[in-house]
Amino acid sequence: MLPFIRSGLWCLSLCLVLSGCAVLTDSQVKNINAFATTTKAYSAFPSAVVKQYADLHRRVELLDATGQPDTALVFSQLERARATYNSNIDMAGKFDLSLQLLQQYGSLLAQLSSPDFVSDLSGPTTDLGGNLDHVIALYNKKVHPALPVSLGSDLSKLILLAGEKLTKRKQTKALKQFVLAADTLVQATAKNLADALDVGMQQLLSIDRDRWTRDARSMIASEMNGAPRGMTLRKYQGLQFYYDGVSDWQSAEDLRSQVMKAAASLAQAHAALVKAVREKKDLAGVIDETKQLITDVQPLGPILSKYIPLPKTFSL
Amino acid sequence: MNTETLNALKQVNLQIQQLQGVLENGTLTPPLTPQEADAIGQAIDDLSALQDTLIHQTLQAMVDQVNATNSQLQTLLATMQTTSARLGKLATGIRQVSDVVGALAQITTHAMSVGLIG
Repeated sequence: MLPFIRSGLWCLSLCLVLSGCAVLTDSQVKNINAFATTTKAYSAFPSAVVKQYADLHRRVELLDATGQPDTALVFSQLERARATYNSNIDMAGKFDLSLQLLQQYGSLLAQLSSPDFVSDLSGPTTDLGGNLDHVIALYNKKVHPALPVSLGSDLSKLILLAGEKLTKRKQTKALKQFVLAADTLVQATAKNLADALDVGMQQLLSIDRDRWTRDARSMIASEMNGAPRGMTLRKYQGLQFYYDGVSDWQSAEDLRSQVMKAAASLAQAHAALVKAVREKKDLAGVIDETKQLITDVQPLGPILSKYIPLPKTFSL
Repeated sequence: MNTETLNALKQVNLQIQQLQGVLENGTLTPPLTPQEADAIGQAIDDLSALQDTLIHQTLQAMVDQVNATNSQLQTLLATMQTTSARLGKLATGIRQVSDVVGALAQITTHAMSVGLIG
């Protein structure tokens, strides 16, 4: 029976070594995880810019309504301001769809690079080791030559190693494939978002901001002209209204820039990830990969040496 | 992108401002009659409606642009989900193999201890 076991162990060990290194090193998997976490934490959403624009545009329409000469026209303008505001708010949600998909992509990358697939294997294989050791103890009572008593747990370790290697290899291969395939889409999505916010939204905000500023100044000037000299509550309220308005327009502009920067950062982070995945075959990558392989197969040495006499120069 | 719509929006905006300027101008001679003021107010209201339509079109064009890659992203996500499920099945498969071997070992132990094997 021992020669049969030796042959089996040799085959299993050979398969482990020949299955080669993982496609990605552990540090690359960590990079993927870091990108996924960054994507998940993306909070500057374009819908917030559109919602802010909707609110500011409503203010412009309310200012316009105050200038209407007829009450019916005032209420007509108010009603349309409300309808336009609701329509713009509805539209805002659609601006987040592509980023939500990128977030899902980040989550799936994190899921695929999770060590859970591998770590979940250790439980049952340990139980298996205990069971086999018991069988071997019984076998040794009746049959000679005896089998090593730790054969069961050793076999368990080898099954665990083989399972881990196979799973990790498939996991990293899939990750590399997806990261490379997704890059064009991530770059295009980020560019489309940046273009929309850079041209369309910038123009919409600019047109309304100019008009609001003109109307608000005209309104304040009209109040000032008819007001008594010195400080008055109405003057203060007018100036406060103008000050708050200017701050709000600036906030919208800042938010627009922030979302554009975040989209650009996301694209850059993914480009860096792709570069890391592609450049793994340089010397440093090969050394890292070799180190990883040595770490992976190191537990094989003590196990094999129990069953197979290794040459003195051979070490794992 | 929607340069023409944005240019039209700027033109409409300018016309609204010009009409508002006429309404606000108190130095016109002769001053506006109430009927003239109402007509200008109505024109402003109509132009504002046109402005809102153009804004809606601009936002819609932006939405289409932002979501241009969505269907491809969804396809990629579906493939990733399938792969993740397959990896989960692989790990489960390895666990099942080891469980089966473990169970066989237990059965063998029992059989040997009662003298059925050996």
